[in-house]
Amino acid sequence: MIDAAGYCRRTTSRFIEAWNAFWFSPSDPLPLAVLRWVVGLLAIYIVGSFGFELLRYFGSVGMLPIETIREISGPYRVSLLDYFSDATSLYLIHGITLLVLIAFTVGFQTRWTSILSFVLYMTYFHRAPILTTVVEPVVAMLLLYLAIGPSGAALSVDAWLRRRKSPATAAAAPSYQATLALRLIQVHTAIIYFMMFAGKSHGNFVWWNGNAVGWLTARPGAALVDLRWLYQWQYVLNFWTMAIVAFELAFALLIWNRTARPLLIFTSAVMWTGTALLTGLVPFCLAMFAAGLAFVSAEQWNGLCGCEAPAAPK
Amino acid sequence: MPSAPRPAPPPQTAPAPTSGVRSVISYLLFIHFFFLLVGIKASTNTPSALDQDLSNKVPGLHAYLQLLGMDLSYMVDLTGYDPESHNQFSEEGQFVPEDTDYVVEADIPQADGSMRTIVWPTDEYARASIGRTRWQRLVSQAVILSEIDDENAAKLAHVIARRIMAETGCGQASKQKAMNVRFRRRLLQNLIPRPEVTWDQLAEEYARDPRDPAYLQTSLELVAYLTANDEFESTSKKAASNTAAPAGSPKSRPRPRPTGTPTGTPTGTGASS
Repeated sequence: MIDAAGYCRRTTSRFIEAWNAFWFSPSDPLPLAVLRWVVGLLAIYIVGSFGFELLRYFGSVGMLPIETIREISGPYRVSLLDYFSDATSLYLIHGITLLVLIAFTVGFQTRWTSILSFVLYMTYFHRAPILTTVVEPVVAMLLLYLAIGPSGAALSVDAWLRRRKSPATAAAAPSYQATLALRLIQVHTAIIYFMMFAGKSHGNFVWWNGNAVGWLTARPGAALVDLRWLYQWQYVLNFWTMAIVAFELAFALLIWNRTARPLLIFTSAVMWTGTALLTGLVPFCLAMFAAGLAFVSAEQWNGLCGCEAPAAPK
Repeated sequence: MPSAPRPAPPPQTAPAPTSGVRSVISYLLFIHFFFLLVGIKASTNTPSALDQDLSNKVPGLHAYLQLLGMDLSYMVDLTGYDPESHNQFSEEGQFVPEDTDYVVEADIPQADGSMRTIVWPTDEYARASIGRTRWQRLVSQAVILSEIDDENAAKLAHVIARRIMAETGCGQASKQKAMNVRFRRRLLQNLIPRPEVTWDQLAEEYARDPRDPAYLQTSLELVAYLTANDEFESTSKKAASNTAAPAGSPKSRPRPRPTGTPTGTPTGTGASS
């Protein structure tokens, strides 16, 4: 006779074990630290680029009146910039935001600056949602999850200060918070890849008939290099189009396989470089590549830079 | 003799979370991903009735996702360009294409009576810069909202024109003189092989300059001016041209000889052939 209760108990127990191992087993925060540098620099670039245009967009005679923006983009977008439109206040907030982002990037007081970085970054995002390009949401996601984990535990001013104060201090300790943050980034990144595949495959004819890359090359104001001459080799354009779609699906599904992972990460470098050349969306391509780096383990980072991995935790 | 540096002690693992902490975090993870997936599904172009119901009825979902900047579908498709239906958008205006360039042009009256035309984004922006992309987004929003007859299109166009007037000093230099502002979309060269087009015709199309102003389609046009009380006013007017097509190809340029084999599926007659 089948022991249904025992089967359910065993299955539940295995599921809980796997769940706990996935989300809560301790891991080295080094991958988070690497991501902190890349994401921090991207956030500085995105926010910093408003610097020359603060008044143009947010000033009292700016192009984004608050009432119109709220009507277009929804009521829950709270922003500090909603309350200021004079030049002094705008430049002061901008300066503070950049200082916080720089502190976060170099890993100074990271526990606080990581949270502040997300909040201040979202201040711009919420004040100007109709200017939002495809990169801002990806960087927002990464900033949020980096604020959850100990992203300043390595490769940071905090770590340097800690070692200077007490040379015997151990290297960054593996922790479950690091695993939690990394897993959140990994799962969210896989979802984004899947949705990008879905966006191209669901009712978007040009990605299925192989013409999408052909159209992308034809946009003169975007492509970094003129690739229109490729129209003579339609097979190349068709292959490139299909390769992008196939890669996005493969990344979403196969990145969880340890054997496929290095190949997919290498392919993502090639794919995003090509997409950046085609579309000119360099920050977006960098952000997506950076998100994929969350799948590189601490051991692999240590191996890449020739560093000795810290001894296994007791 | 200097002593060898002592190796750093191995890192100690931080304490594992207690069962209670794990439960709370697991619950929060469930909520987070439930909200995220419902939000993503509801933000697609074709959400199911269940997605829409969940999205509208689950308390706090909209606020949570909007605050975190996650109220979007992530369906970055980069292009869905169709030369025959490039200006058809969903009624909600959710679908903002990333695949064409948008510009805003202003004819600014000069003190000597002449007109000077300035185009934004200007060439000061680097090609891949985010500042240029922001301009494109702003203008595309005005164009797309105008195409679905959203009243916010006029508001956006109005404030953009107001800013242009303030930056160019147009109002002060020539009071009472109107400034024409055009919001335009650049249609793409159709180099896709299709049955009704020969390779020679494609080569002729290729030889054209893709930045040719004839590719620009005016979607929204307004006249802006300062009133006698120095107040800014603008009035929309019917777009001067709603189609774009280059008048002809420059014959002097070398015409490349296509050597490939046509494989693309026909996608239309193209905007400029």
